Amino acid sequence: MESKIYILVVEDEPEVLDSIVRDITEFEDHFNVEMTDTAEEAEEIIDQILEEEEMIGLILCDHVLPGKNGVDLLIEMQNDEKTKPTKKVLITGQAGLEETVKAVNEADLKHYIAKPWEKSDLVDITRKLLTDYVIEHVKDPLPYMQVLDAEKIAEHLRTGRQITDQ
Amino acid sequence: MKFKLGAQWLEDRTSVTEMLQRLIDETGEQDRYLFTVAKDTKIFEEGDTLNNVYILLDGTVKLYKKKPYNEVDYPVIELSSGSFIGIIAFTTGLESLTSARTVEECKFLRIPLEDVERLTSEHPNIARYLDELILANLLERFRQNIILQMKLDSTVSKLEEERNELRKAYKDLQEAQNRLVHQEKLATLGQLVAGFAHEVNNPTSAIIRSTDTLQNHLQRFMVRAYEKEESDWRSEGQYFFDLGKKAGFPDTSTIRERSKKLEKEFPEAKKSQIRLMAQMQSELIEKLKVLTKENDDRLPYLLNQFEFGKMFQNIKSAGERISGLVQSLKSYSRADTEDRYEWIDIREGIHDTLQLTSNRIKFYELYIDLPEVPMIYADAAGLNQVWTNIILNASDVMGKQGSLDVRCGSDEENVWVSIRDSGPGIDEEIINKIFEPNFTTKKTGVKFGLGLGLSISKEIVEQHNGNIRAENPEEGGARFIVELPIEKQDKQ
Repeated sequence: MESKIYILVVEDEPEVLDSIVRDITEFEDHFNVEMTDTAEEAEEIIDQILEEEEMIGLILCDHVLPGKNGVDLLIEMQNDEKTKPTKKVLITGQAGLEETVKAVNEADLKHYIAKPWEKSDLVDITRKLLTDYVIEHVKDPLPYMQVLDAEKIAEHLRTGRQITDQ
Repeated sequence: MKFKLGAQWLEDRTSVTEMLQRLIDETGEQDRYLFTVAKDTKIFEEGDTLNNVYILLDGTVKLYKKKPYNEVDYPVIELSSGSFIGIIAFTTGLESLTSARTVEECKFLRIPLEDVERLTSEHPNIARYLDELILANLLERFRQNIILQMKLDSTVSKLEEERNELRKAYKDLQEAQNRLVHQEKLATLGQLVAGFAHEVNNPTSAIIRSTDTLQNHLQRFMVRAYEKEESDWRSEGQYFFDLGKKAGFPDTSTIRERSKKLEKEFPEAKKSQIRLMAQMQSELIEKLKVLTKENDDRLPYLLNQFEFGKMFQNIKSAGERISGLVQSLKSYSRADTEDRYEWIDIREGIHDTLQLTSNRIKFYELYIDLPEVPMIYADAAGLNQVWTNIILNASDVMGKQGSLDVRCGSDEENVWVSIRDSGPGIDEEIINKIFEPNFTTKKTGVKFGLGLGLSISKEIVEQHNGNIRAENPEEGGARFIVELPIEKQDKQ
């Protein structure tokens, strides 16, 4: 089994954090979900995950956080080679254009989710981004077909590298 | 030449001219030189070369100079009897600097230049009095010049004074305008909030009411769904539901720790189930172990009950938060009061502000000491902005950790409010500047979105005839103190 892929959720309101995690439960059999309520704690967890040589596939991050804000966290991750590949999503109740533009430009923001969100949107985005991540960074994406975008993975397998399957 | 000492003749040129006239009378040539000129007659023109000497015996003459830009004659000096007119042109031989015109009927001695030469050589006394007259006139002109300089100086300082007054008036006007714009902002906010509160309260009540009903239905439904099971453990479901409602939210690192332990205790459980269990009270975990020992099919049922309880509690507390926020917003902006000034208990505004900023200050240790203080006649919404500014500034400085100390009190004259944070304090270099307009230490825009700063706070406090100041107390952090007079002030 390849190393584990994590989904990191950063949100300071426990009720909201709970709801986000509940909405993406279906991915939990294949991905580890980690929750934190501040950017600072997120950084600690990122360090731990990387120390164990595991991967962070996706971060769903609230914008307004106590201490360091979400956009700054995402930008820092983008500037670090080890967390650069992580797909980055901003979840926010305050649609400030300036900060969002900053996130898009400087953190390679992949998606922007406005609160309140629809479960199906959150799930679709999570599936799409994790599929991309798995295709780009995992040698054998086959086990993930069941929970991710199977067609896209199959297409990748067909056109991409040859698979040495036993 | 010889002069009489003393200055009396300076003041008395008339007697000098009388002496001169008498001497000329004695020559027998007086008729040649004595002239009477009617009112408003031009004697000579600026730029003329003068061929005569004019000595004014009686009457008044005005000298005029043309203004360089519009050629209009401007009165320069008024000469009375005893004056030597055209003195500069006579002594220098140059063109006349001014024009001369009679103001009333005037009597002159007009002596042609060539006669002056002759008269003075024939009659040494005439020469002497003429010299004296010239000197007296020059001294008089000089005195006039000094007086003029003094007048100029006082005019300049008066102008400067007026300019300062204008500057101040302009500044006052600007401040008044800022205040008006700010009041307008508040009024708009009030109207928005009134509408907003109405619109939000309705759906919120709908959510809370439906949820109550839904909760009852769900309970009955769950009981029916598991009817076939033995009732003794099924009733435990209700217990899990109730404790779910009371579970609250452990912080994320606690959840992480508990999850690791639970993964070992419940190796069969799914991750989502583990996460739910990590939020359970320990007594519930013990119960769960007992109940699922013989039959772990019971686990999902019990966990569902727990989660239902939690979710209903979430909806309920979220609904309450919305109503609470709307209520605070309403009283914060005084959406339902017409007159901004009224008798208020400042503590209510402080409580509203703490409630509305709870998103930012929930991480701090709060020390709130608000004993009863006298009511004051004040603009509640305005003061709320003052508290908000101070608190949000403190929060910006402290980030996630820190403490906030909010207290109030009163003496005979004032009610005071003190708000102290545990941040790094204010640089001594800038502590005097923080109340100036446009002063900021923030890199990005205002987070709260009202675009208000300490300068507005200062203005609001001063409108109440109070004062606001900042200091770095010995115990650390920064402290803002606002003092407001208890006695009703005349509104500005």
